[in-house]
Amino acid sequence: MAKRGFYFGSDSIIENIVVFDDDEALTSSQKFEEDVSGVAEIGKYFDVAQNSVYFLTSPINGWVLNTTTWEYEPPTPNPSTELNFYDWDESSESWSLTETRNTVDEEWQVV
Amino acid sequence: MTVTSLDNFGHASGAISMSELRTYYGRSGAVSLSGSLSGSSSSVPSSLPSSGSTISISNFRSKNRILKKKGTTETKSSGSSWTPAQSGCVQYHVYVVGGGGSGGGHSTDSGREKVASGGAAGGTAYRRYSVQDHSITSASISIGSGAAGVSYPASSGYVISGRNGGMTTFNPNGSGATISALGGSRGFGGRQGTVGQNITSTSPVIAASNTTTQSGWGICAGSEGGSGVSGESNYTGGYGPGLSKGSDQSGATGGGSPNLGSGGKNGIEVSQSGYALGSTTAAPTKPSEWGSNVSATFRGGAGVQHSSGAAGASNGGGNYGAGSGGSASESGAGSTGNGSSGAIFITYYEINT
Repeated sequence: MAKRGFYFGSDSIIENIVVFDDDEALTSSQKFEEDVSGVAEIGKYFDVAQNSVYFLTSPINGWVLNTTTWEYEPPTPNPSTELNFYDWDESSESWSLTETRNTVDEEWQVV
Repeated sequence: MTVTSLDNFGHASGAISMSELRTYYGRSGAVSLSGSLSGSSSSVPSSLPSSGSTISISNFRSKNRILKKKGTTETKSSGSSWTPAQSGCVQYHVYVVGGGGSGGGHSTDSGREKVASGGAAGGTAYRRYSVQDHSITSASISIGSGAAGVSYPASSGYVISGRNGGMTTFNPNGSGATISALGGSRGFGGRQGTVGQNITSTSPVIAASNTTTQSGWGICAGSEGGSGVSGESNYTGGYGPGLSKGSDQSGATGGGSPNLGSGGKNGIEVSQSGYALGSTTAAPTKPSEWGSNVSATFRGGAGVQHSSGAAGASNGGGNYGAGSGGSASESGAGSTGNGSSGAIFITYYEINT
């Protein structure tokens, strides 16, 4: 049997995601993914104190780290409706109305 | 296929003795240049003077040994170390294959296109190692994991990129070179990149990202196959092609299949009204030296799309090194399968006595 895991450098950045033997004796720089929170990926940070993996910086300006899923999310839910579509605006770090329509049968119009 | 050794008699200069010849060619007891070492009946070594001609010790200089496969090709798919499964070998032929990437996901509503590309296959590196010259008795290895798939909710406009596969490495003790195979890249959803765009670790967007880079709902970048590093031969894996759709169309592409020396295979596009699961990506041709010892398919997973509903899950990559398909829905949820993990394949050779 095998288990998915990862190993990280002295800076705690994940260098590779790998397949260990399930009974493998891991070194201090190796972890089984099932023993930590979050999905391991090359380039993510392994937080020893939180025992979790996540990117150190948000890929999108203004998004915040969800410390349950360890993924970045907008600080407020997307307010889009069937008639108004919002995109995240990284410069203002807020939702911005980008397309609209009067009924659901109409085509979207760029604002 | 005739396989010959890489080394040259163990030393390139100095006198050669009969006992040394005997050991080198794996013989025991009495040997003679015109008899057991003539090459005429034993095929050891290659390229000696033709039958009937005089043979001298100097004819053995710069001649390679003819080898034969010993046992079966070994598949190593987990763990951090390797030791030879066969003893008495003079050469190992090693393929390393990186982990496959996972496809992207996209959900939009009526009136908008929905597209997603499959993840790419891992790269492949191939190298022959001389047991004698490289003093190999073991190796540190890493088996690149397949990328985890991603999921997306029903939405009027939600996109998420896939994830990247891990790197596979074979690092022998002794003096042999380390070879590596990079994982296949992630696939993308609509508004993430453009068709034909070069893929880096951050471009057009990072793994599992909701970021968009352009306004074309029906346009997405394709993934990029991993490459081999420091092999005698290095191969780039197949990929999930990008898409460019208009007029409220939908589409997805499958994941790539790795290149095992005869070409990688790219994912197949599926695009039609209603629900459709695409075809599994073609299987790559395996190295002939593996014979029938490796039954894995190496096939990329199919993409899935629905022009007016939830597409659901795409297929994962088949072992080993293959990418998963993309998933695109209209106002419906979906997910992408996992890329398949990488592996190392070792074929053992002994002297053909």
